Amino acid sequence: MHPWIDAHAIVDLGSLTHSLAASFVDYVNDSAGGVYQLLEARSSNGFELIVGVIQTERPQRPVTDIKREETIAILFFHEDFPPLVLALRDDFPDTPHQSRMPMGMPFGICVDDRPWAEAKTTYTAAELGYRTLQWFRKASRGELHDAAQPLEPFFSLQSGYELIMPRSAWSGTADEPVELSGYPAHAGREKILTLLPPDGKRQGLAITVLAYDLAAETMSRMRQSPRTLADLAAELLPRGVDLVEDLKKRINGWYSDDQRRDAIFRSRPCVLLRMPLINPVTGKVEGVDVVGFIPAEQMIGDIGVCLGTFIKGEDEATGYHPRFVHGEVKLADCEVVGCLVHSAFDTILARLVSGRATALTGKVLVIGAGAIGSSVAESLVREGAFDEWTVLDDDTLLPHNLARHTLTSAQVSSPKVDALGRRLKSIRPDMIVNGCDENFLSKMSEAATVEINSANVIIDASASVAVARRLSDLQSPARRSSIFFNPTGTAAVMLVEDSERRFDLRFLEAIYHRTIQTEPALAEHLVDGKTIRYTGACRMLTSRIPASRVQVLSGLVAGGLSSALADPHATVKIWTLDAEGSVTTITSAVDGTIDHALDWTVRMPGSLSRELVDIRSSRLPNETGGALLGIVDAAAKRIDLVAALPAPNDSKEAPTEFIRGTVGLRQVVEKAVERSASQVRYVGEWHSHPRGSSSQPSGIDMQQLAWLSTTMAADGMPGVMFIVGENDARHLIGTIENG
Amino acid sequence: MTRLTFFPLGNADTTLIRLADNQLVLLDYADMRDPSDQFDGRCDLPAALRKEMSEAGKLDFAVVCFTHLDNDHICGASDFFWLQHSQLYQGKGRPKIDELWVPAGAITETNLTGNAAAIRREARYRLLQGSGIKVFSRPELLVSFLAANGLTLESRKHCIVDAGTLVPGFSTQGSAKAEFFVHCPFAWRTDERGLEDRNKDSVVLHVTFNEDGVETKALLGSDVEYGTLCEIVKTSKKHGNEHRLEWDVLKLFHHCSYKSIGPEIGEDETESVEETKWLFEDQSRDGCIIVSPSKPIPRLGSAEDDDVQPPHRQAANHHKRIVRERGGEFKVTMETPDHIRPKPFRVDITPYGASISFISSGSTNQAISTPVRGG
Repeated sequence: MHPWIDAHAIVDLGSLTHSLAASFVDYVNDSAGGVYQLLEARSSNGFELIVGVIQTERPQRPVTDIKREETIAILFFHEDFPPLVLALRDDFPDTPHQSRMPMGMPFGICVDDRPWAEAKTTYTAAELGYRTLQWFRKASRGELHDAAQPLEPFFSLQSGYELIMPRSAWSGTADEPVELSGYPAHAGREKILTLLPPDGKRQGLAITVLAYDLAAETMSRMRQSPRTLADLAAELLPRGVDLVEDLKKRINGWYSDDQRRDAIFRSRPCVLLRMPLINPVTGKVEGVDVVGFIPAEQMIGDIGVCLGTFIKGEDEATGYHPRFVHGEVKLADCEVVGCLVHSAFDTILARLVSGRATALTGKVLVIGAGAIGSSVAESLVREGAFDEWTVLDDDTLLPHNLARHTLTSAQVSSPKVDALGRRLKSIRPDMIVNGCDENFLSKMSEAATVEINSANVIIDASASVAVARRLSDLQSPARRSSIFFNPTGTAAVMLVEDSERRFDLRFLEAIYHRTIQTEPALAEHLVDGKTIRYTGACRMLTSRIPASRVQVLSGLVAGGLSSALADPHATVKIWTLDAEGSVTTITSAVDGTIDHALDWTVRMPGSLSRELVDIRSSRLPNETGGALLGIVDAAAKRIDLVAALPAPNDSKEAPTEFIRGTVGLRQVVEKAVERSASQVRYVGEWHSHPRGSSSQPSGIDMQQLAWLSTTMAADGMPGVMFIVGENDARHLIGTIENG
Repeated sequence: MTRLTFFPLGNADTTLIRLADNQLVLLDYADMRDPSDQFDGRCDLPAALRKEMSEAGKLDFAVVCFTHLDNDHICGASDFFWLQHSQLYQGKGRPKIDELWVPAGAITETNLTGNAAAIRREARYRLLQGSGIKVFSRPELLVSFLAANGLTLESRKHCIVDAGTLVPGFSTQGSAKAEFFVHCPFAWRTDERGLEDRNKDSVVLHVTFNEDGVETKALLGSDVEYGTLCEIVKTSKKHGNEHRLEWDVLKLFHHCSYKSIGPEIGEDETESVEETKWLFEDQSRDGCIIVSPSKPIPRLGSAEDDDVQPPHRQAANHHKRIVRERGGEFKVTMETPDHIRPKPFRVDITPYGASISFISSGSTNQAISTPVRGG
């Protein structure tokens, strides 16, 4: 029998007191006699053991050397711990799903990877028997997969130490090792150490990192956890690391570094091992196991003494001195504590854990640190998006903001950019975060201009149409996006330019309005059935919207941004969240043409021109037409067409002529304008030409344009006429010079 | 995955093969349990089979093979299966048989009663119909039967499979991932015996399974004795078919009878003759599994040990030595997992060879639900 087992006294199988142990004996006796054969029971202070033989169900040619019968022991500890299955054969094979066991104990196999607190409520002896049999059966058939995550060690038998390690721990060299300070996290969590670069202020446990990258190995159990530096060196030697020689060399080197010698010699070494794991099923590296070993007592100087290359001076001040004649290497006295190592949260870990296929990189500038801006930024930061963040806003965090903001009462009265910047940085400390405490619509500082010019992506989260339009016109190489909620907070909207900026934010705004005009489900998107909620800035949240709704909609936007920015095409998306929680997503087609007429530019959504062509065809051989709606910016001399209205009932449609009637047109136009919260207006007329005719305007058309131009001039606008011919279409713009 | 299931039925044979495509092939059906005897350890075969059928998602059998018409191979068959030849056997829920496999003797034997008579009627009916049946070998026996019904041998050729050939319809490359080779009864043996010798003329099949390109072979013996085995060995060698006698799984002949090894029972271990020694020792492969469809092996000196009926302790010792030398396993249906509560067990055909599996049997079959959650 295994010596560790022999060390515990044999007791009667019927005398076991652990309830699961006793019921396992009954289970075997009653119904699993063919699979398990009980040999004996043993008992020790605090736990009970059942030793037996299992029929493993191995196939003729097992993948690993599992025998047809294996002697096992099941360790039943305190009820708060899962039973531990031990394989007692000395040469038990290396397989995945084995536990890390302390030296001297038999091999442990992981038959259950659920948290015990969750599993124990329904756990039965039969299940233990079944899972154990399954383990052997799968091990022998090579089916123990998802092997990257071994079961947590059996805590009561482990050091329990865990290290939270910055990625910089891996950047040291033999000459210039990374020096860190370890700080216990919290009372009651003393065994969790956070390692940080020393800040010269707080006193922590000085640690010098010796990092080793080991070659990838097929996932298997880690051999018994090394208890001493000698064990560790023996473990590493076959994996290509001569720890003893390396330690000697490094400590000698450090000794000659007058600057750092004392600090390093009085620090603990941490042997950090990174071991890529090959999944035995796929044959690919699918995980990295990271562990650290820190001597329980010795500092680096003491290790030099253990290595026989240094002697310790008589008092603290004299320190350590090299030996000319090297002594014996005595690392067996040097006990080490094995620690689980967690990587500190940083960009790489964020991207890995969030599982986004393509990470957004580079620099982003967010205009607006309000509800949607803070929530979307926080999600994206946690997902590892962008390497550098700049937030621009001149607002102050006020108490009522907290109802829908990621910031807290502690930051009330701070500039939003400062507080939000600190918050984002505290989530992912390796990011660069900048703040510009200013208003985008005012004259911008030089610093802000630099930020705008260096950004790869600019996101408008300001809830202001003016900001979005100014952003659209701004000189900068950045790709732009605008995100906002509708006034009632029932929907979120995302506009993302294409990477070439063929379709800018203004054009996307027109597409957005076109979608509102044409999608029946969006009839009340900007209008609250009873009251019109806009006040100039139509996107301003004037309703009482709960934070939960802001969270859902912001989550949709954050996810949408990740996908849309990873794609070179432009995107217009509207998510509508109903009262029951269902989300309706509308994605608009983004394409269109730009025409120049006089000094105006007219943009036409592709879907609108296709619609007009269809209407023309449906009315042939007659001509047809109607009023046009659009967004006009007189200062920028820009017209973005949005929608065409059907011909009023009293219109006259004939093969050579179209006379647009007037019945009901006013109401239709007003309704459309209302539906857009006054963002679109009447801009002119369109009509079709008959079969075989081009869009070349006729004399009548020119007269009509003159009339249109005169009429529109009252509003300081040009007249727009759009003609759809057999194979082409054209815009005509008429203006009245100088009134 | 292909799997063979064996059932504790005392000295009686039933082997279920669930092929890779879930088709069910049943070799023999012997429901031996005495329901009035509460200490009868033999399993409730109809219930056990229905469980396996529902696991495979099948209501019917692709193939049912009766290796011969002895009671320990057919008991209760006419109460279980849906038979085509008479409405008497067409009750609701009876599983149908897509193809019936029988030795030629099952058509020609006379003076039959009970299950044997019902199977003969069914076999005859199907043969006359010309579909849903394969008759193994000895076509000369069928001539007069067919002639009496106005048919020729030629017209029923597609229903006859000769020894030394593969049963049509199955292939290691097709969905079944298995092929069946017929060793017995022999086509060429034309001795003029007055009586049908069922055992000698019973069906012996060799199955080759293909799991991920790896071949696993099973020899499914019926009740043939060593003399017939010697003839099978000689014939196979003569035709270069040695590979059709290699085996990873051997379902023993005649419930572990010494007569299927050699002429003398022996003191402790039955001694094989040249051909059976070759079959057991040279043709077995490492890690092989021998299944004895029988009662528990008698202990030395027990009353059962003196019984002339199998299983024979000396034969079992022979087989135990074979598997020991091959690092394999010897399983007795009435002793598995233990002799107090024998249960059906499986042999899985894996890419790593054959593997005993208790998983689906008895109380180890715990439904495990593992909630998977991320958070």
